[in-house]
Amino acid sequence: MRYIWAFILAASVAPITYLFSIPCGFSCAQCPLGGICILAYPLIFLGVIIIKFIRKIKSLISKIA
Amino acid sequence: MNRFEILKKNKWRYISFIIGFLLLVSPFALLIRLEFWITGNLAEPSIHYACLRMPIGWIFRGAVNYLISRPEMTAFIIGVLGLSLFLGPIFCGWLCPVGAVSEAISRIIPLPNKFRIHIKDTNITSALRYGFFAGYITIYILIGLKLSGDWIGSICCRFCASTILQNLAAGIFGWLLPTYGSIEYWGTASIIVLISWLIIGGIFTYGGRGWCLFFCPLGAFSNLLYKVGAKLGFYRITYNKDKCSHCKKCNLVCPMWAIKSDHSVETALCINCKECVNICPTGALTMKWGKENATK
Ligand code: SF4
Ligand code: SF4
Repeated sequence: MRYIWAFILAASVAPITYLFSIPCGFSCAQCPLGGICILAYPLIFLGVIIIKFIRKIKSLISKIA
Repeated sequence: MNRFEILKKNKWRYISFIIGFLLLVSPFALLIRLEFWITGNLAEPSIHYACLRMPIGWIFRGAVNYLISRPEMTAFIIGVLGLSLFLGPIFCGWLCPVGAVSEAISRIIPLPNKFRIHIKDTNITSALRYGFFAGYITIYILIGLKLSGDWIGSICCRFCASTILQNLAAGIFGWLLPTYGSIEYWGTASIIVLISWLIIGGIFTYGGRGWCLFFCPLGAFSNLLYKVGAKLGFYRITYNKDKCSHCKKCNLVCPMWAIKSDHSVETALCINCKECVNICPTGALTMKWGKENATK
């Protein structure tokens, strides 16, 4: 069942993402975000790395304690 | 086997990637130049003329007349898809400069694997990949049915990793050919694509083929044909479970996450790069022709 959900998720996300990002395709900063989305990806990844780092430190501390 | 041994074992594939770059990417674009010379086309050759996405779009939106009016693109797509049926997606695995660059970046940057995305269930990877492909086809059917304007299709180059690669190549090698200096479609979309292709799909994805796995419609289409070809007994990878020692080396080198948990190969993902064949210590993975042991 989860394979079907994965398929449906990807199938619906692809066209929606394309439609939403059309302003980015026409010309930069045409949408209300005004180009700030450039920062979105690096920020998401920074967040993921920080969360992983905090988890690691927490597990280290719990091992020591 | 260390990195240098892997490099040595697969040297022909890496040389082939350089040839692919020279054949397709301007200012070199030797294959497109040859095509233009034959057809008398006076335009400046670039990877745009080997666009493999547009003809797929034309097929699915019923615009077959474009296939006739753009013979160079049609010939290219027929060649790549035909090869996929008979020999597997060797364009993806051996020639495509987009996949080559992201794979190379992933290998050069020594990011620990725990920071890399890696889905180990081949069924989930396939579901996501072909889900995206279905979504892509949906857009083209919408355009074909005129439920949305043609303008949606007209901006797709801005979301294309090949265009970004072409722009990067123009920046680096443009001086070799003074007439070629075009940097096209550069904007926010290009940066989103650059990050998805090289940073997330390259550096932060195990094997460096995130773009090929999830966002390339040609790759997905080629693999569907490979799956059919493998069933019919054309050139394919085969797995012999009696020879397998379960060392998992194949799982570690596969850039397409195509090795299943039992170490057999998912042809809906495999690009016939032969990295696993070259590393397998027991010869359990081999390339084969013929009906015998054709994949089910
Ligand atoms: S590398 Fe060969 S022997 Fe090792 S797990 Fe893979 S198929 Fe089996
Ligand atoms: S299964 Fe083997 S040949 Fe196929 S993509 Fe993975 S490493 Fe390459």
